[in-house]
Amino acid sequence: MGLFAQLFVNGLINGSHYALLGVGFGLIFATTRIVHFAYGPIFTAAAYAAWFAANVLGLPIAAAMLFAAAVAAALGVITYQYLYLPFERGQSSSHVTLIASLGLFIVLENLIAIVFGTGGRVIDGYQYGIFLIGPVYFSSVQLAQVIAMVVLTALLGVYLARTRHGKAILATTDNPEMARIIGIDTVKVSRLVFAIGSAISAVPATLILLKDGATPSMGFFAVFIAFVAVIVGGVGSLRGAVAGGLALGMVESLGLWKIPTEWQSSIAFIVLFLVVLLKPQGLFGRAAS
Amino acid sequence: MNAAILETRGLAAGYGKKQIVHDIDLALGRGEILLVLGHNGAGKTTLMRAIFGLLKPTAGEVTYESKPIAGRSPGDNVAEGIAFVPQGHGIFRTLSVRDNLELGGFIMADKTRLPERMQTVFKLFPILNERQEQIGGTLSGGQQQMLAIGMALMHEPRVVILDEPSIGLAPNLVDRVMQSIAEINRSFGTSILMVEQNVRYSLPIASRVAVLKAGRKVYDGPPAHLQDDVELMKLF
Amino acid sequence: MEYILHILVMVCIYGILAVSFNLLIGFAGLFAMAQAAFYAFGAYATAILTLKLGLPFPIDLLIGVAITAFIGALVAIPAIRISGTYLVVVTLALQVIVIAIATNWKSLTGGTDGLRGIPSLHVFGHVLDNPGRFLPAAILALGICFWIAWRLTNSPFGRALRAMRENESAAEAVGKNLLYMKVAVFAFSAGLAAVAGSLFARYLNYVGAESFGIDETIYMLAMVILGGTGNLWGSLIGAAILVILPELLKFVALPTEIADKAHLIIYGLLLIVILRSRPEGLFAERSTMRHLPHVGDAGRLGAETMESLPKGEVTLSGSDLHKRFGGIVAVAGFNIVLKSGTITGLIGPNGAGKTTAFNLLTGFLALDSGKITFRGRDIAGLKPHDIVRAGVARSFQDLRLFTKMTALENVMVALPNQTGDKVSDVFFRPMKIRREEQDNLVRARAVLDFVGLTHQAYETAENLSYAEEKLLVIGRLLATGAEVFLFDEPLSGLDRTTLAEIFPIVRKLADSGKTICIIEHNLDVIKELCDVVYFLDEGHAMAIGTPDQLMNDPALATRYFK
Repeated sequence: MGLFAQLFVNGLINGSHYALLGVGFGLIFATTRIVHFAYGPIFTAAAYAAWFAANVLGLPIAAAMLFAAAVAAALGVITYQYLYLPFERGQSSSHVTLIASLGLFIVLENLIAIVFGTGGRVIDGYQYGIFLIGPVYFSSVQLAQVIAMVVLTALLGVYLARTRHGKAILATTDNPEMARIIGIDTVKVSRLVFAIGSAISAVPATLILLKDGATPSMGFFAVFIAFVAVIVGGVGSLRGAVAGGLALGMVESLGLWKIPTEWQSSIAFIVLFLVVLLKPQGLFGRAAS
Repeated sequence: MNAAILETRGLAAGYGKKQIVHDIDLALGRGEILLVLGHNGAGKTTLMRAIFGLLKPTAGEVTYESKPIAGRSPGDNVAEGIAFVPQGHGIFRTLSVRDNLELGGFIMADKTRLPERMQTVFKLFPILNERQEQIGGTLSGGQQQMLAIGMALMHEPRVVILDEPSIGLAPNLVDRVMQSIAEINRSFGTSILMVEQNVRYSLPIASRVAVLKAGRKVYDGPPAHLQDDVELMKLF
Repeated sequence: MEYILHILVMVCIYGILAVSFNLLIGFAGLFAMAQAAFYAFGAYATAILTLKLGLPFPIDLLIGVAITAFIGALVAIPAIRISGTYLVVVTLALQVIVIAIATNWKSLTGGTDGLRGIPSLHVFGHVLDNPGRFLPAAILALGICFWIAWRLTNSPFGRALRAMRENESAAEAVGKNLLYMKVAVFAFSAGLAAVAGSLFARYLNYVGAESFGIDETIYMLAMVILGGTGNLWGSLIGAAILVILPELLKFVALPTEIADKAHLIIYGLLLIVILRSRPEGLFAERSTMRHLPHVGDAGRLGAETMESLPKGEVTLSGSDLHKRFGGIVAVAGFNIVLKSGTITGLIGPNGAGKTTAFNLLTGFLALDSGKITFRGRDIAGLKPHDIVRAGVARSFQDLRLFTKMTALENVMVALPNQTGDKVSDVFFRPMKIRREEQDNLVRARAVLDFVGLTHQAYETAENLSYAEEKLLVIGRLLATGAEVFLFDEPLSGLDRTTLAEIFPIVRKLADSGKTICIIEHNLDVIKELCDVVYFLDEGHAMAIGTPDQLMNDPALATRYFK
């Protein structure tokens, strides 16, 4: 029973991390239909930015996280403006944009590796708290991962539903042409979602930095898991991305019961296979019209 | 006759290398309903999209209130009082009726006027009032078309461009929609540019008719003359 | 010298990989990002079979290729259901899983240590254990692989592949079996990549998971994109450039670790720059056929395409067809009987279910209930391509031409019973295919003559005028050799002069015994062309009769007609 409780909590924690990655990626994907692979290295860049702010500049963790969010948002907007937008204007096929995104992915990933070295980076002297509730163990960073997911998702939900910009985003996601017809500048909306989505990724990035440290190659898994969460949950729905991420975390964690640890990270991909083949509109998504 | 509020001269447009409409002169008089008739493939939709700025014209001019607007973004056109009701899915299918209508007024500077504008739309289409909270995509085809027209009215446009509002509607609904369009024209003085295939229901409300064939204008004049023109009527 | 020879060997290996990858992404338009995984299968197969089982060359190679081709064929099965972005993601996932297996299944793959001591190739008593000796073998392998890819893409099968890439449903509508084509092209692509993998293992005497990662797939992608998708020579040159270019970097004094990363940055940037400046790559795809044969009397649309059934025989019939989408009833209790030599019109308001009826009759949509027979044979539930081959073909309202292919190719791809559609025959019956191709050219030319497009035979479909596109749609449908033609608004948007040219064509078809059904809005066209008219509304036929009967029916007049 104790093992089960622990695995469940681990699933919730990792699931929250995946969910948040999925929310940021999903916002960009649903609104712009761009498969933004460079989300991965931007996530990595955010982790290194947080490391730089905390370790080199000596900022407190919260400030480092904000700094990371600003860096990520800037990178996201620049990527859209100078990479994706020209393709969009040239009416390139979605494959072309996707390949360009893969191109940027390897450029950024290797650039980060050259600048910061391939070894991992941790924040010097950072110690996280440990909680023990009954048989279940978790750390303050893990708690923060869950809280961050809940708070950020709720805030984003309110922002989308209540504010003028949020509604413009929803409208563009629903029907980009109709959004233009009623006078929404869809390019501005795209810039906005790239800023928000990227900034969101900085939060899980900073928390992972605190938990495991940063490595230049961490972005691949991040963008992949984000993508899987979105597809599993259903494209175009905030709730779907959260549900997809949590489901993934749970399956992965509970899978440990039967499956050796080194296979753990493959579970997500197998889940992806099954969902795409059996229920391509996602577990919680609406059928594509 | 009043000076035209919206005018095209020598307008040409198409996709890629393919020109679809050629050399179109149209003049929408203030307070008029200008009906553009034509078959599938005649270039009606292309023409409307080029006028509204969703498609860059390849040649020619568009003037609105005597100001050149060709190639301008739809956003600028909406802001200056032109609204567009596209063919088919002219609504946000995942959002509620109320959200749709509010979005229709997206460019309005004065948001306090939203409730008042919404009431105007509800007076025209009472069914939308009853279904404010319903999700757009779950409305019937006729209700969706009413919502689409309602959205276009939110920011009090001076010109409304409609792309085949009758498409996919049962005949009795077509009549209902056409009557609403006539009423909008009558009560608000809105000038209307509408393309249609459905001659039977659209012709009676038109003040002027143009006919497109294979991307060119082949008739422009009062509806009555068109009805007399046996050769042209044969087209339909 | 040794060093240069080594680079040339690597050019050969990557040349094979790029060519194999181009088959998938360039010719078939299938963006499957798992090429490095196929490469890995070939390499590990050779490593494991030689080290653990002691199998000699070429047994290891053949088994490796067979296994990898089989796995490639399995990947094609999801590719039939999903496309675009999803295919990219799923295949990336496959790539990751394969690497996870290579890393984690230690007993088989050696885990992170990899497998060492793979025996070098022995040929006629020579051991190919240095670059100089290995290079001839590598060149030979490249030559064979290139030849295979070349045969494949320059065959009727290759033409069908490109058609599928341009428009899947249209390819189905001219009788192409998409599942077969996807399975075949995946199997070939994977199998060729496995050859490269086996060479790699034999050359380096070592395989390790780090050689087959996602970066490797992107590297190959860069080669294909740089060289030009759909151009095999381009892939070779792309591979050569991308193998040699980073080597030049070695002359800049960089620490190895940074130099490796710098290579990858260069690939990434190169990818982006090419896509921005020259998305078709260095070498654009070329149409393979350049000369049009003369059509003698024998080449007029003769015997097999034109002479058909006696008039008035029931060919296609649908009874009590039903289809709903969610809550919307699209077709409800629709009955239709089509007869040879007869032109039947379908009219009715938008949304009446006309196109849905076509989709049901041709297998593009599954029936909820109802019965469809063609000349007495039950064809409900058959795949669209089988229905076309049985003799019922349809066109699409939105044309769906193969836009990047020439008018001639659009027609040729639709011709029935092409031996070269089968990959095995591409390799084993080349002479038969060559003869048939001459024949096909003549037939295609005759079809183009028939619809009056001979002068545009070598024009790509996207450059045709609207009227010419419509004519090509008719021509392509005609080329399928079907008995029954279902035309979805073939004439809309055409002016009177063009119509006057097309009417006799359609009439001639009917007179030769073909069964024709046309969805049309223009009542003039209906009046002039149709023998029987069905008036559809709310998903079923409200009235059936001659055009005059229907147009004089007062009830219908108020509903639809002026």
